[in-house]
This record gives sequence, structure tokens and C-alpha cells, in this order.
Amino acid sequence: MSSATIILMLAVFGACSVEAVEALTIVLASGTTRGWRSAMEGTAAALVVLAVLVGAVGVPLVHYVPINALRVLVGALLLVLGLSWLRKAILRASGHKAKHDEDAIYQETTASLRAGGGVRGRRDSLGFVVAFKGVFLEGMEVVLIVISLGASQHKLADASAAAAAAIVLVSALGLVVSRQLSEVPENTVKTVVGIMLTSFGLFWLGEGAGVHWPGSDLAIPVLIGVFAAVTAGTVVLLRTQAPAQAPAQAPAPPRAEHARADGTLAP
Amino acid sequence: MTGRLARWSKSFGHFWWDFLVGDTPELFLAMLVLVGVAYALRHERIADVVALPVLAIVALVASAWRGRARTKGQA
Repeated sequence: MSSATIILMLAVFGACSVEAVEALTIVLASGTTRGWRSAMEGTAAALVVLAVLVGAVGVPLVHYVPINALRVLVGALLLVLGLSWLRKAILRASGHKAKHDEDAIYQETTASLRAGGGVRGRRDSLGFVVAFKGVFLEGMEVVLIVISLGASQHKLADASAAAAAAIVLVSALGLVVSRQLSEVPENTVKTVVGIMLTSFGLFWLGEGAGVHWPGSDLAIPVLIGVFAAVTAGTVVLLRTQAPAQAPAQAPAPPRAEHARADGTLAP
Repeated sequence: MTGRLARWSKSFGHFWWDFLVGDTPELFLAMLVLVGVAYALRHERIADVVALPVLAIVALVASAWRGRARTKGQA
């Protein structure tokens, strides 16, 4: 397995972990308030649709689109995605944007689901739809990353395997601890993945357009180093400009409190 | 049927607009510039491998700076 493949799999795994944590929060909120059957059915349906998308879009892309055109296209997509993830991570790390708060999102989702009236223990369309939408929307970025990274290197199977491993790991952790994974250092993971996506995007964009990178694939780790240094430097620079008060975050009550109020979460 | 197709097309377009442009149109513009520069300089041995990362870095730092200015304005 080449170093480029390992970096690719790490990038997919990291991106998928971040999105899976966000999806898990929504599924848990749906399961605990509307019943597990509908939440699980919604999750399964969304995963099937996402897998079909990877097969239906990814496989023809790999087989029928000229490789250089494909690399420019996926390089451009990865670049936009990577730069926007990095920008967000920089603003969060420097105190200009509130950090992603899984506790607050969980609270907000359970409150709105309870407001929709309760149907527990049998099939519930609201629980199904919320779980489906949560998993589907969070999964769409992962699908784009899997297709882009996998197709540009003809490693669709490896990229899909890395994504599946991340989903299984996060789901297993979620089941074991029976709650949302708010301790996952999401901003750090997002920063690392943003650096990888930006580096891969720039590399494939250049490669597809006919640019000769010195050292070929070895240029990828160099680009990763450059973007890591730039990210760190920009965070330091923006910290000196940090607002007097950090952007307001939604208040997150202690976890034990909503576990008791809900009555179904493990202590 | 037509109404459903129109709704589906609208949300499909909305997804791509949000994904590619969203609240950071400068990053989308930067990507277009980078594609142009990559093709324009592909026969230059050194210029292309320097220009592409430099342009991407400028776009990232400028966009983050713009984001900082925005939060400052909101405060």
C-alpha cells in the first residue's frame, strides 16, 4: 500500500468520523424521544441511499470519464471543501466562531422532537424522517469525499472501506457509551482533515491540468506540511485579533440532567 | 409529478449552491482562478508548483480574515 493510499484512507476516515459523530447526535436524539425502531429504520434507509449513490456515481466516473478531466474536477471539489473546512477550523480555534457543541445540538433536537407530540414504541414517521435526514445530509459530504478521493486514484474500494470503518467505530462507541460523543475533539479532526483535503485537492487539480509536481506523489506530504504551517500561523495571527467576548454558544446543561429528564439514556 | 420533480431539482441545486458557494463565495472564486492558473502555467516547470500553493494560501488566509472581520462586525 503506497503512502498516498494511506493518506487517502486517513483523510476519508477522519472526515467520515466527524460527520458520523454529528449524525449520531441526531439519531440518538430521535431514538430517545421518538423510539428506536423508527430511528434505526431512518438511519438504515439513509445509509442504503448513500451506498447506492457511491456505486451509481462513483463507479461510472472511474470507468468512463478521462482520468485527467476527473482529477481536475475532483481536485476543484476537494479544494473548495478542504478550504472551507480549514477556514471554519481556523475561526473556531482562534475564538472567532463558536465551537460545534454536540450537547447543545442534542438538547435542541430532543426539544423540537418532543414538541412534535409523542408516538413511542411503534413506527413513527417524524422519528424516521429526522434520523434519515440527519444521516443523509451529514453523509453527503462523506460521499463526495469518498467519490472524489477514491475516483481520482482509482481507489474507490479503499476509500469506501475507510468510510465504513469510521461509521462502524463511531456507531459502536455511541452504543457503548449510550450518548452523543461530545468529547471527540471535532475541531482538531476537522483541521487535520481540512489540511488533507486541501492538499489532495491542489495536487489532483495540478496533476489533471498537466502540472509536474516535483517528486510526484511525494509532493502530497510536502503540501500537507505547508498547509499545516499556514493554518497554525493563521490561528496565531487571528488570536491576536480575537473579539473581547467569544461568540455566544448555546448553553449545554450537565449531561446527567438530560439523561434523567429523558429517562432512557444510560447514566 | 412535475411539481415533485421541480421541488427535487430546486433542492438539488440548493445543495450544490450551498456546497460550492455558500457564505464563502471568495473560496469558490479562488478555486476557479486556481483551475485557470493550473492550465495556464502547466508548461512552466517552477512557476506552476509555486503559484498554485501560494494562491491557495492567499485565498485561505484572506477568507479567514474576512470571517474574522464579520464576527467583529456582529459583536
